[in-house]
Amino acid sequence: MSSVDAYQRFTAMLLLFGSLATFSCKKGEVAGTDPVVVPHPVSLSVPANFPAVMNDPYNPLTREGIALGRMLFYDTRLSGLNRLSCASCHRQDIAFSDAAALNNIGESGKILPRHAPALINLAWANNGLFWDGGSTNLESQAFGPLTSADEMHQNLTLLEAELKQVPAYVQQFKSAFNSEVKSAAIVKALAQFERTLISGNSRYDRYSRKESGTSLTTEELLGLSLVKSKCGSCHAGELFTDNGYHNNGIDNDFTNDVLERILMGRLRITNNPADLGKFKTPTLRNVMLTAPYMHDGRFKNIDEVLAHYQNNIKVSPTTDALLFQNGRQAGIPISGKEMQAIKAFLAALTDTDFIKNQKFSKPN
Amino acid sequence: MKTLKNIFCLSSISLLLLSISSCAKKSDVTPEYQEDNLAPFSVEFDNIVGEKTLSFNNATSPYTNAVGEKFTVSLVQYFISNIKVSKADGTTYTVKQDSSYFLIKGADRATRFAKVKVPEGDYTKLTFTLGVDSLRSTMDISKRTGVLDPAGGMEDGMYWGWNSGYIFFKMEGSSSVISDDVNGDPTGKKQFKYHIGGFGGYSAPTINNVKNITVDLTTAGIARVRKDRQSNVHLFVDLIKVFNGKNSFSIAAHPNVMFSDYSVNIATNLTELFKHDHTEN
Repeated sequence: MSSVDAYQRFTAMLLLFGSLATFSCKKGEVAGTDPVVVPHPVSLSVPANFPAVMNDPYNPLTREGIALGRMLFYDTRLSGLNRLSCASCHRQDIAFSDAAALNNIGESGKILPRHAPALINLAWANNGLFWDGGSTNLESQAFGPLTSADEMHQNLTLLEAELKQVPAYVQQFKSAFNSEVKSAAIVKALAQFERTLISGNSRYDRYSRKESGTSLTTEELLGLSLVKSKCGSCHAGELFTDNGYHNNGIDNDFTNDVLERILMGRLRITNNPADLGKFKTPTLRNVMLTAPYMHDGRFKNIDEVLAHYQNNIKVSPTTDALLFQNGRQAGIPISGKEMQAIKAFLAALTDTDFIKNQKFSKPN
Repeated sequence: MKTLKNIFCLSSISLLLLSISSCAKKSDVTPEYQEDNLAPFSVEFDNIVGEKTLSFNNATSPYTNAVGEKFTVSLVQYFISNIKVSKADGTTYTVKQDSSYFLIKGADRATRFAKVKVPEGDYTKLTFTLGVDSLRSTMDISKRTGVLDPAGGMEDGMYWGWNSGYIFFKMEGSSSVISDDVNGDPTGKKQFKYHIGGFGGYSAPTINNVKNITVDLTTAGIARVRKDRQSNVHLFVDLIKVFNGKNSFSIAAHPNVMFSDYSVNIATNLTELFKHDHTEN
């Protein structure tokens, strides 16, 4: 009798213990000891002359997420040797570009195969990131430079551990994502900050919005109409990019398949022969700040770019038909006067507020 | 007296338990199929090369492919996902997707099992994916956890940052037939690298090397999944088929295959890797 009693008691204890364990588990998962943190939603302030912007359903903008992203963007802890931050190759004073054709400041010291793109109006960049559009969104894009041995060369597991040592980060990941320091939250925060990098207050923008006291000179207006007619198919609309991929005739031999076909353009991603030698259209906004140009930075200045389109186009089967503006010949006829007008207009696309905006600069 | 009684009680309980379990195994009454009546089930990926067990960098005893090239293996890793089991009557159970991603690493014996839960029942067919499906590949990054966590995935080198895609199957090694020029291994280390991936593209269709593998279990032993035991389907994964499958190729001719047209040929060979050896029930 007594042993049966003991057995029953033991069973009861086990059951009780089991239910307690289940209970505490659930409690931990649902609420934890801290109250649930709700970050503050943010809507981008879109310039009136811009198209509407889509909020990312998986990564809605919040005040806390953007602030965390800004901190991370400027933090050299993000590189393996704690030497480089995103801002090392994306400097605000030159519209988040790096002024180098092919940089070699990465952890390996090797010359990179591609030119660092400027970060401008990325909230609208919904057709792939990188020069070949290989990354699907800003979140996954960040993993590229973070982990590349020739760029920041960061081990993401170690990065998580490193950031967990910083109380401010622990608190900010919690308040922005209700999460501990995780790589997924790191890239989400970076993406949120990057989506706020809106440049839409150049002299051209104020003119476009018919703001009082703003006008463009006759020469600039001529430049505007020339850009619209001769360049506007690719550098389209108020964003001055179609977010598309084109072979703009800077090369006609794409047989070199080194580095997992990095020189072959968008074909590398789509594997479609029609995409051979096609690279992403960069925006013309702040273009006077973001030299050198092209995916490999081969053109040192705007004159070289315009000279290319004028008469140096190298033709291959995928060369964009839009470049054949000279009868049946490849090239875009531009007179000397037109050249000056185009350059004058491009200068009116420089947005000094963008490069001085304290919200985008290194946090204290 | 009391102690004796206790001992007696305990031993009778143990006896009872023992007899229950052995009974179940002998009689093997097929339980009624209920989707929520889950029991442990595993698939074991036992890497071999031809008739030999897999050993790494074994230069003294290299493997030989169909065209007579000798090679050694330094790394083998692959993703297994979306496990499904089917009964003879065609009833199919799909393992809850969140619990159905595994990274099998040749160098880490502990990773050779894909352990899941399926309803009690007798299964005659096993289906799984070699790779990571397009849905998961493009999913919100915070839903890609465990072996798919980009943090971990990159450490294992199973993620291409440049095209936001997972490498499904990775095998590296060396062979003396590899040239020292750009068509081979310019570092002179005579290494081959096969990194096979490609989920079919985010917006436009592109290389799709996701492979669904179906294994008939009727010949070498059906899986009798019961709660009181671990039913384990033991597969041999014969890596020689990478070279000797339907699209047989020479290492010298193709020492490096990553994200390219040729990867499609190798991915086809990968479907021949898996051979059911036996089932432990």
